[in-house]
Amino acid sequence: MTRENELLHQIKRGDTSCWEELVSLYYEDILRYCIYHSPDLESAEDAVQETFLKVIRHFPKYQDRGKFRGFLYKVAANTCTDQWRRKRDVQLPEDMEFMETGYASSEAQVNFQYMVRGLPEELREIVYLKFAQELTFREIAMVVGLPVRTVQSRLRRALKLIRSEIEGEV
Amino acid sequence: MERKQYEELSNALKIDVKVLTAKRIQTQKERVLQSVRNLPAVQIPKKRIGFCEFMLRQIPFMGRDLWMSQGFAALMVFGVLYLSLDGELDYLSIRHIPLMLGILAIMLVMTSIPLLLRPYRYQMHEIELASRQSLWKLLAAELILLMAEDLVVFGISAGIAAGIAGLSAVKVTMYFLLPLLMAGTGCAQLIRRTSGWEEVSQRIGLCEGYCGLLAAVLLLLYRTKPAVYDKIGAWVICAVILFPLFVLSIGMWLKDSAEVGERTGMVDAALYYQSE
Repeated sequence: MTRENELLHQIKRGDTSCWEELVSLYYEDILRYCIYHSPDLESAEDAVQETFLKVIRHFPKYQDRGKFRGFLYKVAANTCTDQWRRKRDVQLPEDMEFMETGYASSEAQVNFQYMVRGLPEELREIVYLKFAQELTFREIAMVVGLPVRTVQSRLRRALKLIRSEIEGEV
Repeated sequence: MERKQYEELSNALKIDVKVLTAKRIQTQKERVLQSVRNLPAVQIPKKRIGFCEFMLRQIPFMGRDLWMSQGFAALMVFGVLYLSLDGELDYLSIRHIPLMLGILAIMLVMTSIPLLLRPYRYQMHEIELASRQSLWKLLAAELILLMAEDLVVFGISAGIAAGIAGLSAVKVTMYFLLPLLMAGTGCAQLIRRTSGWEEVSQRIGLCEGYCGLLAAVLLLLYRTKPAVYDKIGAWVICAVILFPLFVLSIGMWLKDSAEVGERTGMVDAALYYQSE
């Protein structure tokens, strides 16, 4: 039994103090996800907080079938989407897409970041979840709300696009 | 794409959050954890406590001050009588005992009123500290404790008075009980009927004034018609009539208090005691 399952099991049995450990366990992953999907760092931090609060509030409705991580990312994704919607009302600059996340250490990494950003939205999110967050296909399918096979084929398509761009550069 | 390229892609997309200064991450993480702790769903499991345990927890809040003031009041009554009789306690007889017991009973009620109205003044502070029960339970607990205390004071006083003056238990009980019932019933009714008053001190003042008036009446009876104290049958009848009124008044006051608790949401919020 993984630590996550253990904690979830204890929470279900009424030991709500385990939430703190569970939140700590995923805090940095969700922060990373929200930074990537938020207009600025403050918004990302707010989104992280909102995500965890939503997860805890809606936990009684969550059916544990080993998909907690998917459920968590799904809530984070929805929270970030809501945040973008709210930000749209305060007129963001048109060219602003995602906050600058570049902590890349090599030129190749910088190029990859630009390539991924250049992908169509429905492919970009899958690539991001797979490579940055290392989610399984099942978990990605849950987050983006698509069948597993569609996720797989979209990832293949995204990688093909990236590959062709690399080859074009070379 | 080669394996190395997959790794490069993965590293490129992974934001190293540690670059964001460890202090900021820690502060934000603590903020999230704090808001998680504040969620009702994450509150530490709570344990219900029974009324008896709750009542016992009220004892520290009842305070030594109150019991000392009541004990002091009892001593004062004896002291005044002792001095007025020049220490001739043998002279203490039917003529003095009823007044002494009556004044004592009224003084016990007078010293209890500020305590009973304290939750209205301090917005349930002691309930929050003790166990978070509803207002009517707090009042009921305090009334029970006060009655127990009154019983002890009465027992001691009656024992001394009966021992000195050789009065029967019925007489001693009536001389104490009737003023107590009159003071208690009147104060309970006054408290109920002044529930709209914002200033608690005014309500206390009104009750104290009523008790003072009762004491003055007793004193007047003692001075002008001491024969009244001999008609013990009349005292018993009055007590029999007053007792249900007293119980009814207290019951209605508690019922009103329960409604106050519901109106302010205190009952729902306060049924549990946090075990840690």
